[in-house]
Amino acid sequence: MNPNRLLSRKSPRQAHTQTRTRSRFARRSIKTRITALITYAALLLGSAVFLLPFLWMVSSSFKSLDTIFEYPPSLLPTEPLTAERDGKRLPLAEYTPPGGGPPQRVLLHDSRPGERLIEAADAGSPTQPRWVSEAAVKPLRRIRFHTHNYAAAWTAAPFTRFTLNTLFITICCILGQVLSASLVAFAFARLRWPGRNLLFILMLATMMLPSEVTMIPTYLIFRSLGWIDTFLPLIVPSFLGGGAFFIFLFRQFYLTLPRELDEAAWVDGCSSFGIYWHILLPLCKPILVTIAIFSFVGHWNDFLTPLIYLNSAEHFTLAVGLRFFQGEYDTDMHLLMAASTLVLLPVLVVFLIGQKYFVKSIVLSGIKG
Amino acid sequence: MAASAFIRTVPMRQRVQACAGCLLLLGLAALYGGSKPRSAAGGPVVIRSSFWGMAQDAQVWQELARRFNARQNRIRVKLEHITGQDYHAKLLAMTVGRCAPDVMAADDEPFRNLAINGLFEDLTPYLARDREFARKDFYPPFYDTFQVDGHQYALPYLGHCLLIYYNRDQRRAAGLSPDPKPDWTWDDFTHDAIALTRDLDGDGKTDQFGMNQLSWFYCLQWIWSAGGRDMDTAMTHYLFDTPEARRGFQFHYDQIHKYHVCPRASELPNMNWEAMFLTGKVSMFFTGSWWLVQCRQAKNIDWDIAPLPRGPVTRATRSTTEGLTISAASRHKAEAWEWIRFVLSDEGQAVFARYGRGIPSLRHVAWQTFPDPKTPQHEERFLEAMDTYARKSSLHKHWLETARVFDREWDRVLLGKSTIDDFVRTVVPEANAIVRGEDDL
Amino acid sequence: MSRWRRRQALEGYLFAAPWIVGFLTFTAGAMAYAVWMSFQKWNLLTPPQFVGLANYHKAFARDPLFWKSLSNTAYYAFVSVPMRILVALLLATLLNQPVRGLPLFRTIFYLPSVVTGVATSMLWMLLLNPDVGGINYVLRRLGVAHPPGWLTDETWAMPSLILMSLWSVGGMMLIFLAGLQGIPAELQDAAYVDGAGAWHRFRHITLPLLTPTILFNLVISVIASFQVFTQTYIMTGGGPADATLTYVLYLYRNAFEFFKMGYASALAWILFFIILALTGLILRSSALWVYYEGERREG
Repeated sequence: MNPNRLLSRKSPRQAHTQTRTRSRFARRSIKTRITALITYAALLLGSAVFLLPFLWMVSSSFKSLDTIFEYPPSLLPTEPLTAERDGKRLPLAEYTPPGGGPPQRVLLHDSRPGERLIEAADAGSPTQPRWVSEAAVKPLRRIRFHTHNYAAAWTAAPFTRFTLNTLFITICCILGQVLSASLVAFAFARLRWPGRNLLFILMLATMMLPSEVTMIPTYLIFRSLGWIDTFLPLIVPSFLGGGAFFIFLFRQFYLTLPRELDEAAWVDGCSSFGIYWHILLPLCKPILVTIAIFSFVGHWNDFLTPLIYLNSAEHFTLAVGLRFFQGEYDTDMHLLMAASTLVLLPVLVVFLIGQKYFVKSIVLSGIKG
Repeated sequence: MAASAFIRTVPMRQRVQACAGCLLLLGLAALYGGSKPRSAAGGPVVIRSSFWGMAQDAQVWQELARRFNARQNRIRVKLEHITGQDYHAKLLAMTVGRCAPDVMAADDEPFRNLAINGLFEDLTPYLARDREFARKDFYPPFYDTFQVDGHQYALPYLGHCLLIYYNRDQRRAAGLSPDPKPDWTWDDFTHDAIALTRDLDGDGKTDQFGMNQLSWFYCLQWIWSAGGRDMDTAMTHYLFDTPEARRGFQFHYDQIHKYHVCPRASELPNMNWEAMFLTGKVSMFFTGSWWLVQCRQAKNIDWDIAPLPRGPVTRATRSTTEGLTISAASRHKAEAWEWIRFVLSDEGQAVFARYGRGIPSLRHVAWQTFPDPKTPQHEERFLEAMDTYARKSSLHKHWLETARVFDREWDRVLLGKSTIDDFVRTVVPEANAIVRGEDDL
Repeated sequence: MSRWRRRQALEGYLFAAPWIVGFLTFTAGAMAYAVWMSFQKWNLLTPPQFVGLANYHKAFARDPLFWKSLSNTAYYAFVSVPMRILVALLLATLLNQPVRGLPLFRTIFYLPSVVTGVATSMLWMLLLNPDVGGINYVLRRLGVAHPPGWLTDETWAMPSLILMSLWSVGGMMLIFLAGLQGIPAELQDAAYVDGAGAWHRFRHITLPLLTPTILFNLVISVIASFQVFTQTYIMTGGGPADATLTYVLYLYRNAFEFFKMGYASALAWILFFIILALTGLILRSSALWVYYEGERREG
């Protein structure tokens, strides 16, 4: 098959990529295979470790409260097998007669040091309960998924309302942060103006003061504006720079983009805003996606700001709702895990979708030389 | 300028769309998020009432508010649920911002400092005017917690005390009677705990422990049982260094390090204690009445409640409580009082009991509603304890601060790095300095 | 100033205006208030009392817990930051290869950062159990006779938290990934064609071009790790015996449990200057090792 014929059917950009990919990995040398193998091995090992919290969370969400902390821990939700006899619910076990013989299913009636009182489990052949050694008896368990935990968790509090609130706040905040942070970072990275370096340090410095001490004065400011118990304290700061973290990140990214792009556009009569909007932003796709993901996750899971500024239950967000399952002394762990899994799903969806935009910027290849 | 040059490059339709989108968003933000209770002239007075807790607590308060709002038109209660461990921090922020709720649920531990510093309305005149309250039979340990210098700053709506949850299957398997004697002593307890600490599979490691590890705060009942006290009546200094108090602490120290009936720090399967009891790792579990509802979810163990064992001098257990206060800055104090009266009425208290969130603070309601004849467990033992041997601890003004000092040094005791002598000799001077207010900042 | 310069200065302020407005409206006031608070004795309930520099004096001269929490925090920061950056870089490099199932792998490595903290804490406590936990099980199999007591041991509690912090490198990994994506591929290709090995390519092309991102992650992690709070608040409560009492946890307690808001504010400002000094150092040094493709070298 003539590779050129293949290429001619695609767009120039894709063809360019295709050629590069083929030229780099066309030769499947031993070295390449070994590297690939090592990479996969490392990734699989790492995945196993990094997946653990998620697996634990999901598996706990299907267990009953008393089985979550059993030791040894099992990922599969299991529970003791029981049967009814004479109106009582008794645990089932497997009894292996010490003198040899097939293991039989027995009911456990009672216990005393080192011994258990067992009775044959089939109702067909009634036998007298007898005492046997504890070691010969193994309690039986079965797999049971407590899916009702999810329904119970969702109805324990008005989670539908919380979801709508959180969606609204998060979408507003993403828009605000992406737009305003990229705008402000442009000033720090691409323009020269008096006081720029000082303000940059000042901006970084806003991250250095622990928020525990600024919580009260900030609360007072919002109180004087009358914004308590509204979404405004959660949304407005996102439009005003969106936080030093994102501005700093954008700025670092802008600085990696060559100035020649700016200058070429300038010569063509483009305004600063045009350079920002038409030239730099499109090149920032990876960082834009990253920031959008961070912003989404941050606001989706933020519970401190909603806790402080929202009073009425109908304004609460999902993160606050999750705390409905945590008390001073006890935690409804099974419900908390079920609710947490549900709350996590949109984050995963957003992340997986965002992956599509993690593409290398190819446009640069045309500029140099 | 630059902006207008840019705008000109954007097609008209998109410009309109962008403007409409922004306006819509801002409008939604203002409308959707902004709703504050405004008492219109002539309409019902709206009072804000805050509480903490889980979903179940929210249900309790919602039912109380629903009933209260339904039976009259003058006052509407608007509940504010503050979740997480940050109830306290948010309350302080609201206080500084002068927008604290009219009625606030108050925890006993930080209470005294808040009351002394004028956060709460003095309820004594309200109680004097309201004849009905003179006849209410609040449990004294709950009621007295909220009293400062003869003035009542909060009224308890709920309380707890500590008893022992024990595993009857494991007692039988260990050759003991399924239930301990109701008047058992420290020696009986030690004997049972030793019998219940077993290596079940013969691998040399203890699989089942007789009891759980106690913090210094959970050792107060041993101090009282030994005839000691935590502080003097005026709460000016700690009395941990008396021989009786030391004896109380030593009782638990021996349980950890001498008899090994509770796990050492390194033997902790790092699950929480509740889980250890439910999975059979711990046979006797010291906790409060708050855990009844959750424990009932365990279908696999045969358990019951035991009174605390009698010590060398007496029998004692510790109680804790939660109360309702009126904010000193509230503008609707009379209405707030109406709401509190309702919560503390028989009807209101019965709601708490039905959800099993704790012991109702009114004794006659507690005896009517708290024991559950349908369950085999003897939860009335909590009420018996409240009647006879429950005490409140000394929650002085700087309690949270001294508690941290005790936590730190008790960690060393649990690790086996300090003896009770070391513990007492270190913490008492430090704690007394804090109580005296020597650190003026 | 030339007209062009003046116009750029104006544009600079215009573009930075959202942040400037936000700063002046919310942040500046709050920070100034916090400065004022640090010179007061204030329990939040009664009117504050001016005490001058007494809070600062107390921290440096009369409070052993100030030094303890600061040293705990410095220990945490100086060990966890390099480790996390290395792990994040390693993962990002791995996940930048054209392996199959890349989106899935990236999601998996990012997961612990978004899974609820309670689940992560519970699981971590299970793993770190000195007796039956997974980690000591492996250590015993490898022949270690007395594996550490982790969270139950004063010496090993902070290392446990440091180890745990490695789990949440997902965010940093993403940023490194974005940085790697920004490196033009044909530079790598040119070097490959010239016969440069993978390590050589990494060291001389990828790494230098990645330095702006490394700088970002370094500064951000230093700022964040000195303010570590949540894990100690939820998991250890500062124990055992204050071994994991971090600075901000101590600060929080002073503010909201001990009713010493003035002292807490002084503590906050002391931390501020420590972090500022460290960040300043890092930024200063960055001129030596950070390469910006798009930086204009002014004559």
